Order: sequence, then structure tokens, then C-alpha cells
Amino acid sequence: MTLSGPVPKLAARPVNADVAICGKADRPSPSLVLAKDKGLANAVVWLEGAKGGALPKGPFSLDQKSCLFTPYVQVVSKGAPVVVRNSDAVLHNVHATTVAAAQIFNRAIPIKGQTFTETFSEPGVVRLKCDVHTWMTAWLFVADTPYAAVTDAEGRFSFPGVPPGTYRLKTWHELFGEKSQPVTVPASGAAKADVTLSLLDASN
Amino acid sequence: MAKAPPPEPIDHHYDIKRLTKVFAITSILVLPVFAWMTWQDYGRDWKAWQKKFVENDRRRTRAALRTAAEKIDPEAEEKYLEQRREGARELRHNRSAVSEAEDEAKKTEGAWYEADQDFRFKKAEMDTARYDFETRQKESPKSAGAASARKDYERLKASYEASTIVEQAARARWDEAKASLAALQKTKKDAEEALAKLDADYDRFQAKLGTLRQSDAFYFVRNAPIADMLAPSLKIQQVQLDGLYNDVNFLRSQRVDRCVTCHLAAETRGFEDREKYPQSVLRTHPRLDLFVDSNSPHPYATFGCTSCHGGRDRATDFTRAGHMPNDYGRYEHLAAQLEEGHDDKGLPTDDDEVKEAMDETQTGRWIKDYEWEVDKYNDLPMYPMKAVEAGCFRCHRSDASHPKAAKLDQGRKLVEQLGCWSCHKMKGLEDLPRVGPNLTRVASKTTPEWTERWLVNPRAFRNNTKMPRFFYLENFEGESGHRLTDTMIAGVTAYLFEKSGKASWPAVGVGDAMRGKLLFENVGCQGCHISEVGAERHVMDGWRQHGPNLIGLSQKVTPEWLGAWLKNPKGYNSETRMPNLRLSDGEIADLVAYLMSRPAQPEFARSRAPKADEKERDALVTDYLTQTKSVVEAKADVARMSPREKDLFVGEKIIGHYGCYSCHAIPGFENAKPIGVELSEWGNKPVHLLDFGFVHVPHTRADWLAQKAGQPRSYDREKVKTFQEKLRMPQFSLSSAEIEAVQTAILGMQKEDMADTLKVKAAGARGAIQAGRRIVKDFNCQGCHILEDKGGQIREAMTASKIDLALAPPVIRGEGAKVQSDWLFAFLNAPRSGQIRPWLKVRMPTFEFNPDQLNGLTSYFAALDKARYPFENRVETLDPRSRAVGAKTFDALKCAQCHPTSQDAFALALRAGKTPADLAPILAAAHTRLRYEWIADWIKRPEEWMPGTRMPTNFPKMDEGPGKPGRRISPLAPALDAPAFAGLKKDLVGIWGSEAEAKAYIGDPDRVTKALRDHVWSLGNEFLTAPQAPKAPNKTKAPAVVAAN
Ligand SMILES: [Cu+2]
Repeated sequence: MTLSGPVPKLAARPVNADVAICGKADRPSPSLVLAKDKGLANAVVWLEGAKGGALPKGPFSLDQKSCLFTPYVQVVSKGAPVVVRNSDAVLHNVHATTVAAAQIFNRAIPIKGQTFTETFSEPGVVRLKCDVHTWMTAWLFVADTPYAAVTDAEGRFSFPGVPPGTYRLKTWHELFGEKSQPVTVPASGAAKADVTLSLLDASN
Repeated sequence: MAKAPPPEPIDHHYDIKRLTKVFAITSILVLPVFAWMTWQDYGRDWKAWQKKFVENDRRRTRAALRTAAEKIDPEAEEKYLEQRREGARELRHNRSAVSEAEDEAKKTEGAWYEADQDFRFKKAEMDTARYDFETRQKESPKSAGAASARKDYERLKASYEASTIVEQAARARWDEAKASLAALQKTKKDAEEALAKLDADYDRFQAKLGTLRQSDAFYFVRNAPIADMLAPSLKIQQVQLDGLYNDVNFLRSQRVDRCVTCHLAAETRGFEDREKYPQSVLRTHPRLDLFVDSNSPHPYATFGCTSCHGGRDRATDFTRAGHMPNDYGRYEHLAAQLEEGHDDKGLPTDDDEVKEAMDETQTGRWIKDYEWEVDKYNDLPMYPMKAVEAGCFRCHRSDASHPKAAKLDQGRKLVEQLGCWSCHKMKGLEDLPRVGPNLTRVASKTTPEWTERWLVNPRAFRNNTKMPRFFYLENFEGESGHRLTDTMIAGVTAYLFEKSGKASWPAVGVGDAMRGKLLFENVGCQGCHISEVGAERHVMDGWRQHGPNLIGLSQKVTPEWLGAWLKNPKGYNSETRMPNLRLSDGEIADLVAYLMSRPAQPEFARSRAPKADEKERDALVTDYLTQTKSVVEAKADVARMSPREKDLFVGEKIIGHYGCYSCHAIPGFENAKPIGVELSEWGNKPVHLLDFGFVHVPHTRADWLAQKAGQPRSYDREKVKTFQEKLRMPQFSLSSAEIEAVQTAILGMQKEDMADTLKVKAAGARGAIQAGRRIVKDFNCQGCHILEDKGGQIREAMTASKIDLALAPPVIRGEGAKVQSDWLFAFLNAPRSGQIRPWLKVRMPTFEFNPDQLNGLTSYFAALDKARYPFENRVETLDPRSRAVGAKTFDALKCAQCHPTSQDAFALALRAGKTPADLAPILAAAHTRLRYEWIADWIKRPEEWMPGTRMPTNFPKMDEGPGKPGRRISPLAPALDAPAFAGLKKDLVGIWGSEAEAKAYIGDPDRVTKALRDHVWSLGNEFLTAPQAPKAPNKTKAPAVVAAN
């Protein structure tokens, strides 16, 4: 997946709380990670309508480490456990909402090493933030298909074992919103799909 | 030989033969009459509806049966038996599978437990080794001891990591075993339930089919002509309404509602679908939770139908019952067009089109389908559905607002805010705050020139103003009408400025308009004011037009007046509801600079000031003087008076004539009575008493009212009237939506003709809530706060100004349960900023409430949450152990990371670079502000008190499957074993004596939140600040709870 056209400049996020542990330096915006060839990382890609294959069972993990959520974007299976962990010696909270800001949960996680487990029953994008440290944000994509992935640092993704057929390849990125394009998987061999996004289709 | 007996001397006055003939003819004549009568009775309209309803009901039952039947095959019985056999077999199989799975689960659990123990020991060993290594490393980094300690540590770390894997694997196996067990158990249960359900369906189906077959036959016999006289199932349904009456020409008769004779479906659930049952007569009444149902607050047996809907109670005929279409006015309007062949503007119309439009109206359809007509003899027809909420007002007059009757509520708001009640007495609305500004010192605020132009047309200055227009209306048309109008305006202005008190206001410093703008956007002005040229009036659902639209002020007032006003609104007008925002002189200067720079409406600048006409003025003075004097005397007076005297004389008379003093305080009119007709029972006013003049308006109350509200002087059209006789009601420029709302409110003003027991109670908690809502409405609290889930409209303005909504005025929810009534009283009396959320720029203003209002508001909040009032538990002694545990837990949960515990801590946090918007309330004053019980409850379940709050949940609900409310758990007990918690663990064990007890305590969400609460309670609490040493377990007394005021 690649970005075409101009590259937006995103402001760094100032660290304004718990500098003793989180450090003083401003955090670069995590919203846009581009490879040299403009491969777009941290985008979610999934196949709509592909049958077969089992949903990964998890457990998935989400860490808060050095006052950042890791990973920044990940795909989790619908109904599968997500273990949230605090690896810092400060209080974090995990405030999960839908994109439309409807509350899913808001849990405190005060102790270093503490974990709790949540499951997500509604497929779709979940926005995560820590209200204590406003620069801390992250995204989950709750998938009800096994063919869902996050693009890697080079903007690549792959779905092994997709049954042959024609599907809609859907993508989501926090800056560009949801897009879709058709893709056909042949009976043998691999299908290749290139997705190009540009600021012009940015929807949010 | 027998002789025939002589004829008996019976005196026959009739001829039997003839009589027989008469009887024969009569019975021949009567027979068809009887047949006709029977037919008529059999064919009464309501019977048709009842039949339709019965038909619908049967159809519905049949459909339900069919659905039941579909689940059952024709060979149902055999299939059931087969299924049961199979079920039993499966069950046996399941049972053994379940028991196997149980064994497996037990086994894997054991394995996991061992692995877990191993893991914990390994972890402890590793931790010890690490500590050892760390200490040695610190003491002498290069020593052999350090190196060997490092080796130990690394070895143990590796073994710990290995044990982690083992533990996780064991755990996964156990989880899997548990999952498969649960799945098997569910399968078994599902199978059992499905079987039971099929059985039940089958039984029910058989039973219902039986009754239906029987009742089908019986129904037709019972309701056949003639036979129906014995015991028909189709019959008139009625309910006697105790305590509700009909007013029949000075006679009261009890109400007996027969509406349900046709509206049989109203009470029955299952006929809600508008598509299936398009005629409302065959539909279920909406909102059975509120109406009709015996469990609703308005049960049918008590209130019937007509007490809300109006109409004739005993009628069983469509027209006679008083059904009223929504668009009778429009229908008549079209009918007039058809007759005259042209529309209002005189343009010719197409007859066919008009006819078609008529047929499409509800009125047209009713005429066609039900032969509907206006019942001239019915003084109280039903409310048309568009005004149906008028029916609520009859009993709910004393309520401050009508949250469940939107249109009535809107109408009520308009009636209150536009000041209808000021001129027209309306019972229940007498004691509202005056709607217009106080004019006793108007000369120190504005100029005569501005006043005159304002009076000509207030909307030219502010398009959305609530001030109506009195002048230049249709019954003062033409040159002479305008000359008279100008003379009146000049007189009124002269009078107001002559009688006005004088005052001068101190100079205002030079301010910065940009800073003023920021202040305007941040401090809270926009909760009640907009500043927008050309804005439409929006008060029905809005709060931000509570105060005037702040435009064109530079044309109206001086900076000095504005400064003095902002500094102390009550200083200029003691009755104003504008609160004091406690602005500094610098802030005032900035705000004045900004407000004076706001634009004005261009049409006002272009408008001209009216000039008095000498001739008209003399005529007017003479006209008034001759009411008490002879014409000669009057003329002599006029000749003697100076022009100024004449202006003042005219002004006083005109102010009296139009009743300006009803809305504005005006010197000299302190005791004057309002000029309007009382409307308290207008909803009962007979239509024939309404003057429709020469205007083509259908002769109904609603249509008369709509015309009057929309074009108040139109009933003067084509009439010859003297100045004194002309209509005086001003033009409010109501939109059609506003007219409909006002219509609903005024139509609802009916006689309170009912037994006292049926009246709405205005005492107790309900009374407190209504009294509170009244104050909330008068002072526009919902402009800023979301309260009772409504309002908070300032957020719209903040969003437009791109201000973080975290800085918006607090959402008020559960306030009564949350804060101490004493605190609330004191806070509302004298709010101080910066005590709880110092980062908020928006300020709770000082309203200068009187003690009644303060008590009203505090009891209102308490009543909303069913909280104790006025006496609360005042807690002065705390359980030392609970408090100590609370302090430790408070630290462990890092509460202070967001909540400063004192003003100093807040200052410190700011210096450390925290953004105030990210902080949580300062807890230093919690013990004087919050209710003791509430604190613990809030800590336990913040997301339930305030959905979407930033306060995270520390004690989550366990997921116990769908539909089950999960128990809350404390994740602190298992966390106690974490190394980071070693200190806390030691402390808690110290307090509790044993680890088990410490864990039990901290693992109980109720007890631990109470402990946290006790700690919070002690913060900044002088009586408690000296920490008491925790005593040994089991020797402390229960915490003393002392009730005090
Ligand atoms: Cu955080």
C-alpha cells in the first residue's frame, strides 16, 4: 500500500505529564508511518466475503510501554481475548471508544506489570487512548474474518490460504478512512493487489 | 223447539271486522319498519368497526397459530416421539461426554496449578536473585560476588522463563478443557430446551384451535340480527369516569366514555403496526406505558379517553363524537378558492386541481369515507391530532415543563418567553419573571432616537427578538394611520425618557476586542446569548436565545452603561435574571470593546425616526380628554398645553392603551392591570363568542386562534372602528411551527373541572421537582449544563469556537446523590471559581438567588435522585484501618496522578508541565462537598454514574455471559503478589495481621472503595488530619456515624 501525492506534515505531540517516567521529548505523531518508497504502514487491510479459515483465537496483547501503546495498530479477532498490560511505573488508563466516540470501556491500569483482559464483540475500528497521557493513542481493528492484516513498515500485507474467488479488498487508515477495491484470487498461484491512497481521499 | 237466543246486548263500540282489517294493515306496515329498524341497528357504524377489530384479532390469532403450526409437521406426533427418543439418546451420550470433560478439566486444572506454583516459586527465586545481584552490583560492581550473583540471576531467569512457557501451556490446556466442557453442557441444555418449547407450542396450538373453532360458530349466532338482543358480543363499550364531568349548560353530568366501542384495539397490544392497521381506530394506542394501560399513570378506567382527547363522551357516531381533522382550515381555504375561482393573490385557479387537493386533505378523506361534518352543536370537539398534547395541560397546568409532550412544552415556552401571560391572565403562569427589561432608568441606557426606531419595528434591529411589533400594523394603514402611529411612538418615547430615573456610569478602561472575544467564547456568555446578525428566533427547543442577541450594541447603549451592567446587572435592573460573572475591570473593558464592535443589522441603520404630527396629536389628546370632559373643556385644554405636555399626555395614554407596563416596569404604571382577556379557561370558550369579523376562517377555536396569533389585527379587516375600538394585540411574527405550538398550549387551557383526587399533586418529591424545574427554566441553567439529559447548548458554541469540550460546564447528573445539600446551597448562593476544577475558564455565575430559590434548587436536586434532604449523615469519625488501607490503595492506584489532593498540589502539577484540561477535580474539599456514601459508589462504578466519563473503571464487572449483570471485582487482590506491590502488601499485612485477610479486604470492591472514600474524606479535613495509628485487628469499634444538620 502506498501513498501518492503530497505527504502531510503532522505536528509532534508534546509530553505534558509524568515527564520523570515518560521523558521530556515530544513524541512524533504516530498517525503516518511511511517507508522510503512511500509504502504506508499501519493501515488495516481485509477481505470482505472470503469464507473458510478459522479466526485466530488470540490472546492478543496490547502493551503500554514507555508511555506508548504497542502495537499502534493491530487486528484482533471478534470475541477473542485481548490482554492489556502496563509496563510502566505510572498509572495509565485505556479508554476505548468507537470512531464515533461511543464508549466501549475505560479501565484504569495503575500498576507496573498489571494486566486485564477484554474482548470485543462488535467488528470495526476501535479508538484507544490514555486520558492521563493525551499523546498516547492507538487503534484496534476488530475483525470477523481471518483475512485481515495490518500493513508492515514497508506497507506490505499478505493473506495466505485464501480460497479462489472474487472479493472486495477493504482498507482503513486513520487519516484516509475506509476504501475498497475488487480483487480476484486465482485457483492456483497468488493474487497481487496494489492500493494507492492520496491525501485527496482523506476522509477524516 | 229451541229458539235461537237473542243477540246479547253487548255494547260494541267497534266493529270487529273493521278492526281486524286495521290490525292486518298495521302489522303489514309495521313489519317492514321493524325490519328496517333491525337492519339499521344491526348496521350501526360502530358495529362495523367492532367487526373489523374482531376480524383483525382473529386473523392475528390465526397467524400466530399458523406460525406455531409451521413449526409442527403434519406427522407431528410421530416426529415428536422420534425426537424425544433421539433426545434421550443424545442426552445419555451427552452425559457421559460431560462427565469425561469434567474429568479432563479437573486433570488439566491440577496440572496447571502445579505449573503455576512452580512458576511462582521460580519467579520469587528470580526476584531474590535479581535483588541480590542489584545490591552487589551497586556495592562493588567488579567483585566476584557480583559476577556469581549475576550468573545465578541469569540461570534463574532462564528457568523462570521456561516455567512461564510451561505455565502458559498448562493454562491453555485447562482453558480448552473448560471451554469444551461448557460447550457440551450448552449443547445438552439447548437440546432440552428446544424439546420443551416444541412440546409447549404444540399444546398451546391444540388448545387455541379448539377455542377458536368453538367461538367461530358461536360468534355468528350470537351476533346475528335480532338474536343479538340477548347477549351480543358486539355491544357498546363504556366506562364511567368518577370525578370527571361534562359541563351541560350550568349542569354537571358524569362523564361516560364510549369511545372504545369502536376503538377496541386501543387497549390491546399487538395492533401497533401502521402498515397492517392503517386506520387508527383499529390500532393500539401509542405509548401504553404512559396511557390507557392499567399500569400506566393514566389508566383507561380512571381517565377514559375524552378527558384528554376532548370530544363528546357518549357518542358512538363518527361526527357526533367530535372527531376533528388536522387540516380543516386548509380544506375550507381550498373550498373558498373553488367557490371564488381564484386564490388569495387573486390569481385564477384550476377547479380540478383544487378539488384534487381538497380530496387529499384529511378532512376530504374523512368526508368521503365517514361522511364527516363539523358538528355545530358540539362545543368541545376533540383536539386535532396535531394539537393532541393540549389535553395534557388540563391537569398538568401546574407543571413547570412537559418533558413528555414536546409540542405542548414548546408552546408553553413560547407563551412564557414571549410574555403572552403578561397581558392575558393565565392561571398558573402569574408569577413568572417579567419578560421585558425594566424601563425605570432607560434614559441612562439608551437614546430616545434609538427607542423610537426600535418601536417602529423591533425586528429591524434584532431579527430574532421576542419584543412584538405594535405599530405600523394593518389596522393603522394609510397616510393618516402612519401619522397617528408616528405620533403615538413619539409620545411613548417622550414619556419613558421624561419619567426615567437618571444615572451616570463610570468610564470603562480601554479594552482589547480580541481578548474580549476570547472571554465571550470562554467565560460562559454563549449559554444564554448569541451574537449573530439576521438570526432566526429559536426558543422552542433552544436555550441560547434566553438573553438578547448581542448585535448592534454600539447603536443602542454607551460603553459606560455596558461596563456597569456587566459589572453588576442588578445595579441597573434589580429584577434582571442576568447573573453576575464576577468579571474584573480589565475583563469588562475587553468584553465591552468586543461587544461594541459587533455588527448591526443594516436595515436598522437605514430606518428613519418617526415624527409626531401636530394635528393627529391634538386629535388624540382631545379624544382622550373628552372621555372625562366636555368637548369645549377638552379643546380649551388642548389649546393651553405645550407640545411637550401633549407628547407626555399621549405617551401615558398609549402606554396604558397597549399595556406596555405588563412586560416592562414603567414609572407611573406600578399598579396597572393587564389589558388582555384572561385565557385561563379559553379552551372552553364557546365558538360563537369568538369574533371572526369578515375573515374567511373556519369557525373552530383552533382556527380562530391560529389566525389571531399569526395576524393579530386581521379581525379588524373591513370594519369601521374608532381608534379606541381597534384591536391592540401586537404582531409576534410567529412561524407556522410556533403558531402550532402556541395553539396547543392555549387550547389546553381548560376548566379544571374534576375531582380533587384526580388533580396533579404538587407536593412532596413531585412538587419539589416541578418547583426546581421552574427555577431551572427561569434562569436558563440548561443553556450551559446538561441537566435531566437536556440542554448544555453552550457546547455547540464552544465547538464552533474550537474549544475542547473537556472545558465545557459540567454535566449535572446524579447531583442530588453526589453533593451535600449544604454545600450546594452555599455554592449556588455564592459560587466561587477555581475550587474544584480551576482549569475551567467558564464560570458559574452568581445569580443572587433568594433563599426560597436556593432551597428550591437544593431540594429539587435531592428529589431528582431520591437523596436524603435536608438532613444528611455527617461523618466525623472514620475507621482508622479503613482509612489507612485507603491511603495505601490511593497511592498504589496512583489516583493523585490526575486528582490533585490540594491547591498546592495543583499548582505543583501545573509547574511540572501538566495541561489543566487533563487533570481531574481537586480532592481537598471533597469532604465538604460530596456526600460520604456517594464517594465510594462513584469510585466503584463511575461509568454508570456518568457514561463517557474520563474517570477510568478500577473495579470492572466480570463478564458472566450475556444477559447476566456481572459482579464487580477488585483486581487488586491478585495484583498484590506483584513485586511492584510488595510495599503495599507489607503495609496491608501490617494493618490486617495476615495476608489472607489483607487480600480478602482489598479483593472486595465494596470494602476497598469505602477505604478509598475514607481516605478522600480525610484529605484537607481539619478534624481528621492527624492520622490515628491503626489499632490491632478486631479491637476497633464500628465507625461512628453521627447524624447532624
Ligand atoms: Cu498513560
